[in-house]
Amino acid sequence: MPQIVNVFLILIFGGGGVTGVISGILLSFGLWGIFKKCGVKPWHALIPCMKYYDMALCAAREPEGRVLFTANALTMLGNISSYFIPESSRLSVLSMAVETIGYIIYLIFLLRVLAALIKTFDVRKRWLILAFPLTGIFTVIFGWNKKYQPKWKVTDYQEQAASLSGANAKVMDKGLTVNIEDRSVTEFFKKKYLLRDIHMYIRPGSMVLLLGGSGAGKTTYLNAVNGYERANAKIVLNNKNVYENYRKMQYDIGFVPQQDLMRGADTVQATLTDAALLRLPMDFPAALRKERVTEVMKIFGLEPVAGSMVSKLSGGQRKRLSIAMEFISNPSLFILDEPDSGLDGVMARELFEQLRKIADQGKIIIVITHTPDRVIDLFDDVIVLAKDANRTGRLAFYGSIDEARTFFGKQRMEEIVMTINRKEEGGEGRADEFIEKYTEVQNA
Amino acid sequence: MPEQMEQSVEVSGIGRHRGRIAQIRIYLVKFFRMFIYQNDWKVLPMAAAIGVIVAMVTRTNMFVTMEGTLVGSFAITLACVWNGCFNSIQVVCRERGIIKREHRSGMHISSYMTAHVIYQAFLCFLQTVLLMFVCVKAGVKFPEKGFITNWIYLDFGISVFLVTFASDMMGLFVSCIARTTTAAMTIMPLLLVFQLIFSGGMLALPQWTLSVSGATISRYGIRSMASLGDFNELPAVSGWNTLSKMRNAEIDHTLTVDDVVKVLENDTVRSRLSEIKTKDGLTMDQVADSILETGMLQQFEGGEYDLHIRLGDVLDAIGEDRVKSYVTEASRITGHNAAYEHTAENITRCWLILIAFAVGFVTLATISLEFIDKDKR
Repeated sequence: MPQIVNVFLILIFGGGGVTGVISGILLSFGLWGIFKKCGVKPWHALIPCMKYYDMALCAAREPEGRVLFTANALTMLGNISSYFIPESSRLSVLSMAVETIGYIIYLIFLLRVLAALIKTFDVRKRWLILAFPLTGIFTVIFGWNKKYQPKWKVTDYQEQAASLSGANAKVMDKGLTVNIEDRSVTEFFKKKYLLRDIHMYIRPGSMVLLLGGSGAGKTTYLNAVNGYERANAKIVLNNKNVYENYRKMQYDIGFVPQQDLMRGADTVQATLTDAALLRLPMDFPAALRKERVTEVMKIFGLEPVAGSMVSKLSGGQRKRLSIAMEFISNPSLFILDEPDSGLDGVMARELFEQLRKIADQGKIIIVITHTPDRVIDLFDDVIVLAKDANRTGRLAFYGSIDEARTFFGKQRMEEIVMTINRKEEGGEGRADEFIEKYTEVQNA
Repeated sequence: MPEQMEQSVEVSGIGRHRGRIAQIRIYLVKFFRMFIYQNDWKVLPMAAAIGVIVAMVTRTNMFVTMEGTLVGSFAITLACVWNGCFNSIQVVCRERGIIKREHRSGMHISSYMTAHVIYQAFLCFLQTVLLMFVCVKAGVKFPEKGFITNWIYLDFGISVFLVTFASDMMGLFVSCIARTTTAAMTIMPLLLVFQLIFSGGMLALPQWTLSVSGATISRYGIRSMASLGDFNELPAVSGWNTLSKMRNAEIDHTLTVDDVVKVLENDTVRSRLSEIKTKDGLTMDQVADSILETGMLQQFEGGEYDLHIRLGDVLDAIGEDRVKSYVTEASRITGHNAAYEHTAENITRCWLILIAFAVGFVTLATISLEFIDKDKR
């Protein structure tokens, strides 16, 4: 068969030769039916590579779909190039390597996607035995037999999200003003919004709880606020634009990450001294710096373990050291991502009481915690972020704790999270309702 | 937790903070402190152990024969590549989260990397000293005089250090691009195999792979070490060793008189025969001439004779020492490699290339780490 015909067959059917063509036709025919059932444009089944991506969409496995798309493209590239590169050429080794690597990845990810597709059609796992080696036949059965229907459609995820508020928080001399239009990333040629339409003003001296389900964009929000991951936003802290003055202001914002990111093979004293050297201005006298380290150790109860290795500290001590490292430069805005993870109730309470005291000094404290109710009396306000229908993090509420209880009709914060969580996450799936409701409140 | 919350020290984060140079010092002190407290010091005994293993294999023939020098240079270079890679392959990726946090707090990536480079250079220096010490103690016969400097240990030490350091920087680069220690340790064997195969030290590489070989640290390590040992002037013994192992091999061949005449008339054979003297003081070509001139062979014309002889008998007839010196010399000429030329230019060129590798890897490592903020959570 002439080369050009083979290349054409590979491009259209995904494989040359009679077997390649037959399995290619079966796959496209079967996928046409599956796509129709799952709410994907059926003609996508005719586009090489793309059909695999859409098959993964039907299986609710979009990330795997991207890999499958790329692996299939690589395999095809290697396969096609083998028709043009003479076997004696060393490039043929490269082409073979590309094809082999692409094919291995393709097989692994095809297996994953098929297993998920079997779940989508709610049939027994043993179907995988047929699906993996005979994908074409499998897709024809599931695409055209009316007995097999998917549990969900891709269009289910494309419901109408709540409308945007268009509101803007007013910038004040003191405190934190957050006006996030959006925070997006481009993934696989598609723009994906992580956060949208978040506007608020936080008073100095407030201790604010940041609430939201998994994937609601809490950490993205915090990173956007502290300027580390910039959004299309204007963040103003004490009348200074954080993004425009990031280099200067990064020392005025303390961010305590969820994990205890410290070197275990260093002492507490050395860790804090290095933190002071990095975070305090150069003109800060050495004697005062030493004094500040001692003072911070005292505040956070770390004096008895000053000479201990960080790796030898208890969970609570480690957490306090992590906070102390940021506190050393006395920041105006203090952000903590799950500071109580891994701590028992008593230790967590002590930690939050400590944070309350810091807030009482006129600082702004924003805290993410997954067990807020045991310390809710210490907070002034709550920010509730929720995933809208497009899986974008949106503001569902910002106000005092009591207002939040009234707004959501729930007493406990954990109940609020359950209300806004999506149904597939075990929640009530009312996020869009509350986002819409809060938008109306903002616009009122 | 203490009740105290009052702060006596007036503190504000606003102001001019420590620049790049000052931060290098902070991190350098930290790394040296952690050298003691963390497990980094363990690379030193490991380097010594590797040195012992390498020295055990190389000590007898390194700088004595061509083959021994090549094997020794190859083994030492690979030990250096291993040491260097192992020093740094995990240092960045194991604390990636910490780096992100510190970067967020004002740490300059360039300062962090510079501190690492200095610290790693220190480790490589100690490993070089250890490896040299082990080699000397194990009885490796280093050349008597230095070539670039007056001290051969310094010359050789520079090569060892540069190979270790360049590999260390390669490991640092991998550590910067790998997100996890598992990923880094998965890449490491690939790197080592690449260095091993494409060094050109042990395997004869096809022509087209020479450009790939040019991208290996090991190639220049082997070159610099073999050149320092004056590789091209050393005897090559593998040819003779093989021949002498075949003493008992029997040669069966059917000869005609024409074959013998052709051999005796061959110019190359004659020139070689002229170098061999009989016990009577005649040269072997004179003997051949007299055989040909007297027509001794013509009476046997047309006849076929089965030759059945042991190789050892041939060697004894010609004289084993003569054959040995001839084969050794011929092997040396065949084994001559311009890449291992004992010239200052060649050696310094290798050193400069190794430095370029180190600089290149550090630059790439720093650039890649500058994008640490883009890490997916």
